[in-house]
Amino acid sequence: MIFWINHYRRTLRFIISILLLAVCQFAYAQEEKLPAKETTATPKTDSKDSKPKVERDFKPSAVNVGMEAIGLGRTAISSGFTQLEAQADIDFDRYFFVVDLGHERNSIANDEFNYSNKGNYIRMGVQVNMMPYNPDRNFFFFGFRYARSNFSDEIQYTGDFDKWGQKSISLANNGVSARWYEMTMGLKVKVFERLYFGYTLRYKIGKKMTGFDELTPRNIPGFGRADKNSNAGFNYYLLYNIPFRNKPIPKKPKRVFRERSDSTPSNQSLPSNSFQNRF
Amino acid sequence: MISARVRLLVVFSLFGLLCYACNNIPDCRNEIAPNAVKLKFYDSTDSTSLEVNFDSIKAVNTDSVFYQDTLLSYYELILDPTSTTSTFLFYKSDQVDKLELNYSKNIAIISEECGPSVTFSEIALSDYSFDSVALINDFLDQSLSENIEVYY
Repeated sequence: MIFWINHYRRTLRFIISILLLAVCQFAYAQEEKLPAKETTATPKTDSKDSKPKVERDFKPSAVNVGMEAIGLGRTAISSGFTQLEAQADIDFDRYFFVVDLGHERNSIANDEFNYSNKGNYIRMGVQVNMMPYNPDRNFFFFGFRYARSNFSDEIQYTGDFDKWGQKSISLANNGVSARWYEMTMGLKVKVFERLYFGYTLRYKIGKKMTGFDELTPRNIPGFGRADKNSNAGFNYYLLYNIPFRNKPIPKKPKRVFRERSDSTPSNQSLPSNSFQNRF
Repeated sequence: MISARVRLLVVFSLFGLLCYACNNIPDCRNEIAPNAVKLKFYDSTDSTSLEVNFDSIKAVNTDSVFYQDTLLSYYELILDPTSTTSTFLFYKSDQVDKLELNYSKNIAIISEECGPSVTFSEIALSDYSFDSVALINDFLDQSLSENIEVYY
């Protein structure tokens, strides 16, 4: 058990962080302002409630397109790293189909070796908006992605191999491919007009890599360290919302309470910050 | 409303900073894979450990001498990282014995600081002139006591 905990310490730490983050996000989301007329409610005590009717609108209304910001920043300040990633999503009610397309180049070197790696990746998946009634269309989501990467890498290595003396090794992989799955969560916040800023936390699992020979790739574009079966990821996105039809922000459906004959008086109201008035 | 948005952005940015994990600093000495085959000599008559004196042990494709005038029962022979075959020659008086090994090799970068490491696996006996040789373990590991038994 102790071995297991030690072995998966970083994974556990990540999962715990995600859970804490989710709790914080939900707690923050509770503070949304709502119209004054919604601050009272019919009595709850001894009443029989019926399920609220939620109106669905699965017709897409807008696409969000944007770029990943951390990769752009690292590309600007680092000579051995390039990452360009675009993201697009389209809405189907509170569900969003998301596609990420990226290109990554990475090289590391010292006096003995020079390793370079370049390739493209795609992630596709669905995310569910957990706060669909937000007036700014801010967006807290959980999602799932399937990802693929195709890349090549090479190494030139000159080392002192003990009794064999100093020798040079040149190896290359062409046409390596990898796939993995991602569990995601994140937040998108309206910054100005149709401009949104958002982050995505990823937990990447189920990595499978094929097409390499004597050289084991160090990085998988879009995944990270190739010697690990799971990785955590974090991205900031700058997104622009392009609507193609006017879709009103849905109103939070209210629970309808049917009073029983022996119920308490109906002028007893719930506190203004009661759960049903939030989100 | 603006203050709520600013507050949300601040919270949002702080989460980003919190999400960076600390990277472990690798210990290069522990990370580099073993590169030597462990060869142990046994008496061919009673299978007991046998100390054998060789004038020298050399390998094809290098001028280096792996061992010189040694009396041991256990020898470690470093494999050629640029090839998938290593041929070792054991000199004793007028006699020269040969041991040729085939193997797979793999190069992986441990870290930027430690650089690449060559890992050997799937070791196989391809040719030898000793009377009897047995492959016990076809991979290299620090914990193993021997890879090849030579009955001399």
